Amino acid sequence: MGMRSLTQLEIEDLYRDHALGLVRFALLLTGDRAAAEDIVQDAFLGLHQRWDKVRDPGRILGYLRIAVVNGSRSRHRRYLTARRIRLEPLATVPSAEATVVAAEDQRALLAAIDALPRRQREVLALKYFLDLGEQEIAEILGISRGTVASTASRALTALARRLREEP
Amino acid sequence: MTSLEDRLRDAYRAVTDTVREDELPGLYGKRARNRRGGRFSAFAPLAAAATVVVAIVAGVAVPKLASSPGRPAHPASSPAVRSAGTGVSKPTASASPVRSAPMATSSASRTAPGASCPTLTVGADGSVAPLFCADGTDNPAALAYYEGGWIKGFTPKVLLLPATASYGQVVSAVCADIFGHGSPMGLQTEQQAYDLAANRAGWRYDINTVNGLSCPAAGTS
Repeated sequence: MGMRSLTQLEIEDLYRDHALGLVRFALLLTGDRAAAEDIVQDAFLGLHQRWDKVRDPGRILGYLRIAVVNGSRSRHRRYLTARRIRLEPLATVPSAEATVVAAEDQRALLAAIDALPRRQREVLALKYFLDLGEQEIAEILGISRGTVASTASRALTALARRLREEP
Repeated sequence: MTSLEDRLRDAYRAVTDTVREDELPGLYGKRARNRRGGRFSAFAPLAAAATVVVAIVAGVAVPKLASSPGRPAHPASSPAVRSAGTGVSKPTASASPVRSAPMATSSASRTAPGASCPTLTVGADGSVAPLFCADGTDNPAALAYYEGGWIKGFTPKVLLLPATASYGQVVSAVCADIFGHGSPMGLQTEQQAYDLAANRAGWRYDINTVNGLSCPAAGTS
């Protein structure tokens, strides 16, 4: 017997619980707020349509993260000739929190992340934003744990080198 | 933990804090970018090829449609959901591609605009109600449902057509939606997609999948 289908209300609950974190994660991968929201909506639509393939309901969040990574990659391919992603800190948001002006070295760090290869950016976001372990990252990106570790190491080295080169 | 790792976390936080929960669109909220333009471009070759076919088919279909019971002059005045039928004919197809409903009946559109039609109900056949708001405009939630690919990830081509689409282009898109390879659209759901598109674009083509619509045997998918 097949699994029961996911009801609309259950999807709404999942969206309420996870949309914020996923949009933020997608923002790190795309550098585009609107695209991030779109990618996450698509991820939830995909979840509904592939519900029978999500064997373990406890892994829904993992599935959604994979969908966000794939959606970001797909978008990146579509806009390959357009501008590179550009991460912008709080200064773009007119709020009380915006009074915490991002320091110049933080901007330099974001620019350095921006210049990293796609996979390195993905690993860093998964590791330092979502605080996932190597095994979880490996499952989301479909690579080995060893590759996760080496990719993270190379990314940090590249960032450190680039930041040292900053005037 | 290195200083660089700390700085990474801080930098990520600075970026992601720009996204606030109360600013997020709902699951059925507006799409962040205009998908219609991008998706339509993908169907451009199909539309071009189909136009040739439709030029022939229209000659057959128009008389049938003209003699069929017409829809109201403007679908906005007809918020009722149509009942399913079997009037669509196609030489090479014998069964309607209606599939199981993607969702149970429930309330939706908690974030959809349009206070006059706040609740979207999804029927067992995948059709939705109400299709239109009390003011005659498309129910945003219904539009989001079809445009957002809630039926097996499929966005009906008829909803991707520009307002300037000709009768032939619309017929071609409707036929492709119903009979295209792997299409999940049934007669009822496709009629709704057409009704939404027609209301938005102001078409008065009287296309009715229930009362009869001739589609070309090939070249529409």
